[in-house]
Amino acid sequence: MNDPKDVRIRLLSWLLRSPLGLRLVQALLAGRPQKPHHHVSADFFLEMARAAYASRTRPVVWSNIFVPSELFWGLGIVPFFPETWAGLAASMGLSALGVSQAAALGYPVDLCTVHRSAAGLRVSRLFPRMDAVVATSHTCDLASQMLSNFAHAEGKPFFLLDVPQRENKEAVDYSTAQLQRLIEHWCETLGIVFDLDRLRHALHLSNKARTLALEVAMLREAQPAPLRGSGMRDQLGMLTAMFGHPSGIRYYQTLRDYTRQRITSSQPEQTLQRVRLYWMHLMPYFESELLSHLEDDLGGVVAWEEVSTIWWDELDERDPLRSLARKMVSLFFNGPIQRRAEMALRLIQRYHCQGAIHFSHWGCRQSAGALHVLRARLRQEGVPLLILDGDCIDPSNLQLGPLHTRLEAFIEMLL
Amino acid sequence: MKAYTDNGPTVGLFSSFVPRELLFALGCVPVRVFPTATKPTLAEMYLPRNFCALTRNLLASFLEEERPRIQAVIFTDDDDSSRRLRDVWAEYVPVPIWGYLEVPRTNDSLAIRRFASLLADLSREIESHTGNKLTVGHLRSAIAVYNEQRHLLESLKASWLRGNLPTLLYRNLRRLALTEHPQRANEALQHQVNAMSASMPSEVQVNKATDAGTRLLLIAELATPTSVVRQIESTGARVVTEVSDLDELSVAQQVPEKGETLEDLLASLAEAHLTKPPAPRTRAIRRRLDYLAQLARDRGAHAVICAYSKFCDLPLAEYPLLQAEMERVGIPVLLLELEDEVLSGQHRTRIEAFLEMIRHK
Repeated sequence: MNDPKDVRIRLLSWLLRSPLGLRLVQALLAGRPQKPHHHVSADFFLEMARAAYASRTRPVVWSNIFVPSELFWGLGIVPFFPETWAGLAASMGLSALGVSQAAALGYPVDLCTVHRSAAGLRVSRLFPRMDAVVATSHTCDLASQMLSNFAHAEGKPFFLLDVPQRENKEAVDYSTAQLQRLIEHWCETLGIVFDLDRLRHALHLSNKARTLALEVAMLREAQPAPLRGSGMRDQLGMLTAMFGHPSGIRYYQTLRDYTRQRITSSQPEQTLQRVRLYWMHLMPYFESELLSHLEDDLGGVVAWEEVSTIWWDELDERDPLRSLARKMVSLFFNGPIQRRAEMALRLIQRYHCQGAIHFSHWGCRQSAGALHVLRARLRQEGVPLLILDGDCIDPSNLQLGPLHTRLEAFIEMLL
Repeated sequence: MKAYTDNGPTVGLFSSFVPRELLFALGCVPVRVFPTATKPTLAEMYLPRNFCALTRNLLASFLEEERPRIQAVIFTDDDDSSRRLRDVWAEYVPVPIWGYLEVPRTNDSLAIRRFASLLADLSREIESHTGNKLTVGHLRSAIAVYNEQRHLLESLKASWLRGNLPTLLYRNLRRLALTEHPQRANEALQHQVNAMSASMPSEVQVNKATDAGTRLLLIAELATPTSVVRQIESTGARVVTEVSDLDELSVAQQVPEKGETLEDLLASLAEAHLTKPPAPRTRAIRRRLDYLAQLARDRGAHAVICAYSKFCDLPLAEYPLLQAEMERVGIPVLLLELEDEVLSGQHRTRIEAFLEMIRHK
């Protein structure tokens, strides 16, 4: 399945599995001109890579992105999120490889490219070892289905967290009981020792990072917008992996300071700012002219992104599992579309947006399924919504010409 | 019981996880909704084109109907498609939603307890619409009605498997059981059972395909389109099992009727529905593949045809594993991704070529 002629695969595979290779990557990244918070996130992901690929001291559990990361860090487990790494691979130009390998495995082409790409990258040996797999049932059917496929293929234990749609006490009770069972299952299968204080400490770190992230969110209310929305495309990865790890605090502290400095020095990242926008769902992970055209040519400012939103309340360190259960259940993608729509309206008002753009990633049924309802609700409040069909993983599925035309017409209408 | 059921509202269901007994005990006539629209065109205004074809067809069917025979519907959280369909339905379809039942994806004691409690919540919602109160007596009687139906359907399945009942008639009877008033359906099923036992096998209309022909296992979501079954059997091959809500994925076991309290009876219903044969939504791949492999062995299937709705993620994502597992034991698999009930020329050719290939193996 692995194409031995692909030098990039061989090189990456070696780099990721070799402590020396990872040090080399770290040194190369440190020398590159990057924003300060990107250095923190690069170090964080390299540390994760080191623990997952090159070291065997801690168990590696594959997961979808909506299992609370505090759980992993608080149990001494290294999480591996195939969805996030599929996005990372796309940013490195490897999506075609993942997608073609998935086709060879028999995955139909109409499935979401994020998950197909992850399936392809797994068989290309670009992913690390797997000791167990966990997934939540909510938000995205395919994530948990593919993870259960991976676990089956590798003969590893799989645990499904069945997350209810309604947010109420019974739903939180049920989710809490499942988290308890999950920990018992991991103690048995992975040989980990449950230390309540360590889990509480992870929640403590998460809360500190959350406070800082909320400060960033407040700073981003400023006009002109201090940050480029396109530069925040990695936020979902941060929100779902860093909380509960010390890097989360470092990352949001650095991002907060950087944002504040942009405001105080009157140096917004984006110079041409004509229309403020709310961006819904994902953005292309690969370099694309779509966002640069919006930002630099048309002056569209992505003032806030839906997936950058801290959706959960402060976690109660005295009752960690219940807090994490509440975090899962309260996710804005969970439940009826009204939850997403009402959050959008609050954020549109908060960030003084004149319109919203929904990037409908190919094959993502949960996000695109009720757009008609979402658009009608936003229209009721006088907010126009532009729906862009595209792909955040596969550049060949992003038709720039028609998308540019639609963006131009939308911005013109808003001015 | 009869006083309730004769004039009760007809309530449409989209999932095999909703216990029909509960609705029937509350004076409703629960019916499974099958698409009637030939094309999903009307739904495309509300749902994306790359959305589960079955879901789009279901929505289009209701948008087309001027006077729906269904007075209300119950939704479940079976998958992303049903969740989004509910969002759209609530805004644009003039048939009220009387309940939203969350169905656990696991079947351990925790999940069964939760499901029983959710069934109690659903019954209170329905009570508020019908004005009927759920009682132990009514629920026990309703369970008895559906147990009788299960018994009759098992009997008919045995006849079908022996070749004494044509596949299309057998499937029509199963569909009737899902879509008609249960007591009237039971009468029709009983009538057919009586007719079968009164006739010698040589006198009934025996399926032309003999046991020597190619035996096929079908897998679908709601039901394999009749056009696919007709095409298969017109070539002399024989369908020997269908893993779909229409047949094997329905609750086949008898549900205990002896509970003393409503809680006991609801727990029995919860357990029966969560422990029925696994569908992809449970993410229990090993259990599902073992179940399918065992079924293929038991029925002597030579091949599998997966007749899935286009863009229906869960079965499509499971497909590569299913294919590998079946082919490991020498059973070839054909995948059809269907837009609607009508079989295209290309699909016909693929089925013919597949069956031809099996015959020459």
